[in-house]
Amino acid sequence: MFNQKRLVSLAVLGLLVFSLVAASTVAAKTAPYEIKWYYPCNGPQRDLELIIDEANKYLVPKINATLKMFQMDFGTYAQKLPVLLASGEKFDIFFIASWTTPSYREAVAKGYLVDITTLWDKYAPKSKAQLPSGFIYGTQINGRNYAIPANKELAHQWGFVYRADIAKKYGFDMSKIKKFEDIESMLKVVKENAPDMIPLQNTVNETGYKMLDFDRIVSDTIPAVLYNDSKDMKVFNELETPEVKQYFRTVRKWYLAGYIPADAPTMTNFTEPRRAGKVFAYCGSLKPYVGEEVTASLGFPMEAVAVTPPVVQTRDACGSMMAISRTCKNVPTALKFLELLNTDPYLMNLILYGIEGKHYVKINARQIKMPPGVTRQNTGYRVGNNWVFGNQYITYVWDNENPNKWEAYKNWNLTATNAKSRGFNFDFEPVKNEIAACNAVWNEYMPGLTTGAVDPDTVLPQAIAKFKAAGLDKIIAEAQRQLDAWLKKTKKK
Amino acid sequence: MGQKRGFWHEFKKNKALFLMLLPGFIVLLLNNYLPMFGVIIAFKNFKFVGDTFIESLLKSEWVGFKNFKFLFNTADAYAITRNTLLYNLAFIVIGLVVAVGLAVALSEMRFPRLARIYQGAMFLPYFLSWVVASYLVYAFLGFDTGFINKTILARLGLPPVSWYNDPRPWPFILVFMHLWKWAGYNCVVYLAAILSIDPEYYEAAIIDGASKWQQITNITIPQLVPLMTVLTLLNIGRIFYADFGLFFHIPRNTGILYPVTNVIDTYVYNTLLYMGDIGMSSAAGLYQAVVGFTLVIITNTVIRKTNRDYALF
Repeated sequence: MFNQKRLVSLAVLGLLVFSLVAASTVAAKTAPYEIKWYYPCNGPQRDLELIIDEANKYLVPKINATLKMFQMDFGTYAQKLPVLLASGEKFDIFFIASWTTPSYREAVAKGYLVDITTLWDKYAPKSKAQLPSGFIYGTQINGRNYAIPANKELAHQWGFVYRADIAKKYGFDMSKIKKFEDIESMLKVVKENAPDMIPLQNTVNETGYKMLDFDRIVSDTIPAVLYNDSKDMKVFNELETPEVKQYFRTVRKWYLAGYIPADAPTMTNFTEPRRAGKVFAYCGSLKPYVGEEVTASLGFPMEAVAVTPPVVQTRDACGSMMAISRTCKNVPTALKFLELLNTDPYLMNLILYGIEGKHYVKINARQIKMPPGVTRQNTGYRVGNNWVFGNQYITYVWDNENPNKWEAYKNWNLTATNAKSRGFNFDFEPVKNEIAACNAVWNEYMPGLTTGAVDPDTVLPQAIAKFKAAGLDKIIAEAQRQLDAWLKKTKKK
Repeated sequence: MGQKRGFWHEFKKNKALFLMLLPGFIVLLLNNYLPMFGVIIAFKNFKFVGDTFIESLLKSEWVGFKNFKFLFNTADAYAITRNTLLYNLAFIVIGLVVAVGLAVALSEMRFPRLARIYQGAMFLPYFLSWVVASYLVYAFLGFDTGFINKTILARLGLPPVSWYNDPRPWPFILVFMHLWKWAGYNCVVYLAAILSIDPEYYEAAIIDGASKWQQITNITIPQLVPLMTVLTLLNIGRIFYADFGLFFHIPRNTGILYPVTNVIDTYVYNTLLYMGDIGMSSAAGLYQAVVGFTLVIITNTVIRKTNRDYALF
């Protein structure tokens, strides 16, 4: 009796152990790899799990992987990314660009990214083939690729985005605007006739200073620049140029006249007043059909007028990329996923727009609209920002966007000129201390100067002196040295 | 202090007590001392070269004191050190006077219930984070919608002030905000100390005909001196650490205000957030810790020389 009991329990135990071992070996063979993917968008979406389930149904048979997406808004992403990278968290794919924190260059220098130069050809050849060569060599650092750039518009162009209805009401001829100063007369009319409106939303980080369009070969916050069409390839301090002085004086005049909001140097929430229809014009980055795009997102008729010509700088190719983290445990699978994302319209549009019939319905082969009863406010999935994800040319556009948008992008890329330094990447390492110090000076002086909140005649000389004391000359010399070496090397080729 | 005996003798005598000390000691070791190994980051050019953080740390290149250079090399080095030290000195001195003053006043109140209400009201800001406080301040100082510009100055017929564009009032605003947050908390600490003073002293003083003011200056304050010394000593140890939330959130990290709001902590944050350089950030932290530690030792030595009982150790 006793023995029997023991025998039975032993048998049960044996069976249990066996089944566990069996289960685990079977699982080890076929368990799909979970890809953890971080990117910025409109923020976490309510129906994210539904989209992940759909995507997994598709991904498991194709590449034996499942997806875990971490969505956050751009502000959160900027805070989260440095921590994610520095802490050594295990994840696979993430969004990076020349303008993120840390920047693409910095992240590569720190060793956060997997070098995909050879793996790209092996595991994701089609995603490479569809990219114009400018993107492939434009995102290289010392000849190596560390991320897959999104196939999108390549050039950048600065100009004014403005309320078309207001311009029409006062009979403005916006096409007359050729340079930054030309908008002054219109701002005056708006200020006098519509005192509740902000004539020019020249707020910090979104100022007309960008229309000077220097080639920022060192960093966005270091005044060591080139002209895009530089003849002598001499790096210089932009703050000492007459055009910068003139710009500062112009915005100062406008600030004092009330064309620019008084809290411009500290104002960071600039979309709110635009959504409320309180902004007549702001300085923005342009691309084909930008007016339609902004009209759709703000709900007011918006148009754009260009001030600078379209130019491609090194940083433009690096405007939006997906990189693989050094902590990724399965690089081939991650690359296979990116290959699918960039070449498979079903997968791309699923992640971008959600489930057909639930989050969108098709009008024709290119355009989609909201299903009946679903609005932008109550939809469970609207990530927006489709330039973040990858190949834009395989994505749908909304019904209020131009169906020829992608062709227009391709043509626009062709019209753009290349900055002379395109392809040059500055190495921070030799002047790290000076960069840190100059960055602090920039943050102290530039918000006030570029928005017109301080008097340039007294503050600009102070700023220049402080940049000098912080070692700007050393940075300029180092940038010149690296640039000369780069010019020599590329000419030999 | 009795005769000196070896540690070993003590250990043998109080084995049980030492055993009881052991868990706490281990936690202290694991939690506070083991991570100190990480200070070597400050002397390295940290890069991810290995699979794990520790491996990368060990393999990264040694750079000596190069990471510290940016703290002293800059045009701002003097300004940020001065701001950090002077603000903290002001906080210590003014904070002490106000907290002790409030505590004495509260303890002398005739209606204990009313005193408790005051105490609670003063204590409340301690629980609000600087982020919340920054919006409260903004509600007062905002240009278009702020209470001061829109209600007070407008009623008086004065032009609005662009508060966030003018550095001059900010030293006062920052000191005021620090008091607003901490005075209530420190007051409670001193109040507790006052309540624990033996009432016999006061009874004796009253019999001797001492006035209220004489009681305060001759009994209450002297009885509080040890506590004041200890708390001040602890604050001096942190004199190189600025209250990041106060200096970052309250002025809304405005560049124009940097000359009076930039302290070591915000400077390090603003420069290195963008650089993402762990080595340089650690160097700044280590520098603050070393200076703070040295200052505590010096102050403690001075105090021990003058009055041994008041010293911390």
